Amino acid sequence: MKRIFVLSLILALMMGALNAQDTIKIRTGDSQIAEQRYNEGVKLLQGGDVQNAISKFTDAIQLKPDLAKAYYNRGVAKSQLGLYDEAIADLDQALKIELNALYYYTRGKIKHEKGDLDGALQDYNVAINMNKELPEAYYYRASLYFDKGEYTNAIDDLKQAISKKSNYAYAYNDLGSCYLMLEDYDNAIYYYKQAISADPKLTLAYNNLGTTYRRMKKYDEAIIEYSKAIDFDPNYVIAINNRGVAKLEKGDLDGAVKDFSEAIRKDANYQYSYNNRGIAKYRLEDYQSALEDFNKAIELDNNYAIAYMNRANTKEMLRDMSGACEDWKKAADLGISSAEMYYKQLCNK
Amino acid sequence: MKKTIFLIIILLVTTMVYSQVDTPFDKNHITDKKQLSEANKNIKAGDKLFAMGKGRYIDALTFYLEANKINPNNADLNYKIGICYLFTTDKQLGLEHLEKAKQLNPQVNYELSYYLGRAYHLNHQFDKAIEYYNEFKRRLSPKEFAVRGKELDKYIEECENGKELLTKKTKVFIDNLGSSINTIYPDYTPVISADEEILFFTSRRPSTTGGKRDPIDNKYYEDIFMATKSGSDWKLSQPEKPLNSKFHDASIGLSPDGQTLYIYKGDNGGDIYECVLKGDKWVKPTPLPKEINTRYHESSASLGPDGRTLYFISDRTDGVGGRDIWVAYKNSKGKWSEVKNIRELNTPYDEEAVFIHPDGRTLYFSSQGHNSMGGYDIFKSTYKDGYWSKPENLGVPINTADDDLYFVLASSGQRAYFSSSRKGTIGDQDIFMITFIIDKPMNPSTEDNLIAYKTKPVQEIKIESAIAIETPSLTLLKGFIYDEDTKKPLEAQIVLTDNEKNEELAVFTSNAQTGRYLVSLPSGKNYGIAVKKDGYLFHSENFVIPENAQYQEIQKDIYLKPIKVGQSIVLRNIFFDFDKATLRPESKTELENLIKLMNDNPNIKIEISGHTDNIGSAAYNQKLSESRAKAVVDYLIEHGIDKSRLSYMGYGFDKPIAPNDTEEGRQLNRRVEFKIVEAK
Repeated sequence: MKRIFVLSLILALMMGALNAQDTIKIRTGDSQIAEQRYNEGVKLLQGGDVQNAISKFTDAIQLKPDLAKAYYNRGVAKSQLGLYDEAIADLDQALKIELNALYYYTRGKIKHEKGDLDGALQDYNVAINMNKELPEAYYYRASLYFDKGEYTNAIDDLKQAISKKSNYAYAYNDLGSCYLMLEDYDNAIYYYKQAISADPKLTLAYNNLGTTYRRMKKYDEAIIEYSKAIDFDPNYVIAINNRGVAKLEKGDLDGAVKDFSEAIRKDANYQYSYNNRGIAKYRLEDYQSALEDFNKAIELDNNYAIAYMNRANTKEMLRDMSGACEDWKKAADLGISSAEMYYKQLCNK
Repeated sequence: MKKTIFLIIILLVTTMVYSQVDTPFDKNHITDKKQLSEANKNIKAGDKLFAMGKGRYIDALTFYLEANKINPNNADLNYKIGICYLFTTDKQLGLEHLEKAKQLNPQVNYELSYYLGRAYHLNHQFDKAIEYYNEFKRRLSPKEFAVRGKELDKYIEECENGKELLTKKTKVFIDNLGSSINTIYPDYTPVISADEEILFFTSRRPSTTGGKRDPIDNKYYEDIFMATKSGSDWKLSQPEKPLNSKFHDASIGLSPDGQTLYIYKGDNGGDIYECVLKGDKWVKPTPLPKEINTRYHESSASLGPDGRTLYFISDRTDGVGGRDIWVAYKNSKGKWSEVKNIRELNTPYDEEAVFIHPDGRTLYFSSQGHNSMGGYDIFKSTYKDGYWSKPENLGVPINTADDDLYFVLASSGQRAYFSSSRKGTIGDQDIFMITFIIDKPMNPSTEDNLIAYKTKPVQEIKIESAIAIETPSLTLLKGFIYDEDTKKPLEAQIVLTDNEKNEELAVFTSNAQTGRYLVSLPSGKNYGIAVKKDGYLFHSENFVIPENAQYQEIQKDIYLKPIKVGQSIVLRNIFFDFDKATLRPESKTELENLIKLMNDNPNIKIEISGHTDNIGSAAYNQKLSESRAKAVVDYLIEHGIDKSRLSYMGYGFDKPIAPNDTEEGRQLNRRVEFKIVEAK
């Protein structure tokens, strides 16, 4: 062993001796320097200095091309800058050096962010097959299933995620959402409450719980939950709007107008609240004011089919049949079949 | 104090000014004699008409209003004006005047609370109406209650119905058909063809055939009018005989195809006539057979789309009560035979104005019963599986607390026509068109944050952690090798030895051009380094690097001394046992270097000298240093070096080469040197 060491040393030194500029060069130093650069990169990346972190990882890779972690972290850093293709290339390289469930998961996540959902799913599958203890991999795979409408699969994955990571508030919330989509409201309520229990400040869970109650026509309970979300985040326009709709459906038209107006104050471009306030005003028989709101909603989104439909109905009440017909036609063109029916029945005379 | 009194006076005066007092029509209160006379004259004329009953209230109102201009604060006058208004289209004014009457004098008339009840009822303020009805009920004697109690209970029930109906308004437009059809005179009972192209209605206007008035109510006799659709308007015509006569002629039904008109005539207690259109001529109306027309009052008829079913109104005795809905069927021989009371639609109160929709199964009619909110309300019922459904009130605003009658629906179902004396008439009753608004759901927009990470992304991509760098337990020895005299770089050999094992580890060569050298010394060894070049004394270095030593770099430039007299070097790799002169085995390589030097340079003679630090006495150190020097010499002699070439000396601490106040310095001073004392 010693002889090998000596011979290696001699050989290395002899190789170095061919260089007239620097006869003696200890090559083992590059490895440590690479690792040093890598560690500096880690620190920078943890501190948020992504660009410089990338430089450090690049240095490390140049010095030590088989440093998988450097490729991995550089990929992570690049993904933070939105350089998804480059990030994936780095993850590819890291995986060539070292097959690692975490690397597959991370590459999957980056593909997910990029929008390559099939690619993401494949990587999540591999990651999970390699290591069943990655709760985040289950979580994000579940989100892919959710987007595809495969709620049962999503539920299975989310339950796995929770079994690996207790108090996984996000997973509880998403479970609630799966059940909501399946109209299993009891379970939806249960899981949203679990999410809240895991993270009492998860405002979106309160909102989603409110929506569940609203679907069950339990408007008072819905309003309570939306209010909690809003208490935590007074700028949570989605919840303010939703609470307004709960009040609208309950029949508290003045309360609904108040909420929609509040949402609009917080976000003057939130077309949903203009549409909804228009409905409240329509029901209050303030048709002119309702029309103004629908106009605004359409101004913000000129493909807002429902708003065209609602505006048509309002114009009808204002005895502007030609305007109403125009809007029903537009709503029909945008895909609302009932508008098509009204247009045929009431227009073209 | 004065200020307070002044304020109280102002308050009293203001109260007096604004609290009105019942002001009689007498010379004490109306000082202008002419005005007083005129007022009293008008009141008298009005009273005369008022006494004739509700048919003359509108006429009485004209006179009362003239008197009211002169004195608007007479309770009795306001009371009567209020009642009159209740029989016009302006029920709101009726309420205002009755309230004023009450304010002026709550005791103005025994019936005041009754009429206030009626006024609130007709104005759809049902809670107040119920209040006043109950108040009036409480005032009635048992005898009076026996007579009027039922009426009051009916009104209260209607108010309860009204409250319920107000909570769910029907979405419709109600438009007056305009002056092409309507006048200041009564215009009512519209009947329409299924395609809405032909409208017949009844009017009591001056152009009535014969131009005469009915002496009973002093209104013009009814005539039938016909209108045909002309664009968005109507073209009016007034048929002559045989449709119209000098007396009452009312249109009460029209077949879906517009070819058969049903007319009401006052004959025989009130009968239904059928009039058929042949080409463009109407045939003389013929009364319907006795199965339909009786000695009782028959009014309103509507023919089903099959031409074999006739719905009509009759108050014959074998009904449910009052005017009822009946149905007659034409047999295969074309005769009206089977006549039935539609019991499930009828009430003990009056039903009127029946209309069967061209669909043949939806029946519209007016009723004072069911859940009417007052007077006649319009209802609908659908025939299915042999039964008529429970009548459904068409609701507000089609129905009011007053009479709502003569509803006919176009075949499309989108529009209907009826007559009403509600606000919006040109005068008296008018014909209105109802446009039904299809109830269209208004869709709100919502969104939720169903998937948490999309709302609040968390950095769940892990960063690989830092590497625990394996410090290469390494010392780098580097520097340059020069000629001590010329300072020129030298190419020399660097021999690396493991002193403990007396094993040569490696031999390096410094760069000929620069003299640069670099030696890597892994930790955990006692290294002897000898830098050699022919013609020079070898340079000796010793490095003991512990196993756990940190990485370090040592810069050490070496100046090789040419072999000549007087040159000396420190033998850094000669080791002795502590406090002794016994050579340790680790010294072997250094001693061999020395032997080789002596053999390579046979012409030199050397002195080996021992040196110490300054710890201990001078004598002790001198003796020790001398012993150690001798030990080296003895070793050389034992290994073949002629003793004549060797000498030794012990200098103790007399020749330090570093300060003795540090351990480092003391270590440097603890040494063995050799010096060339002769070179031939």
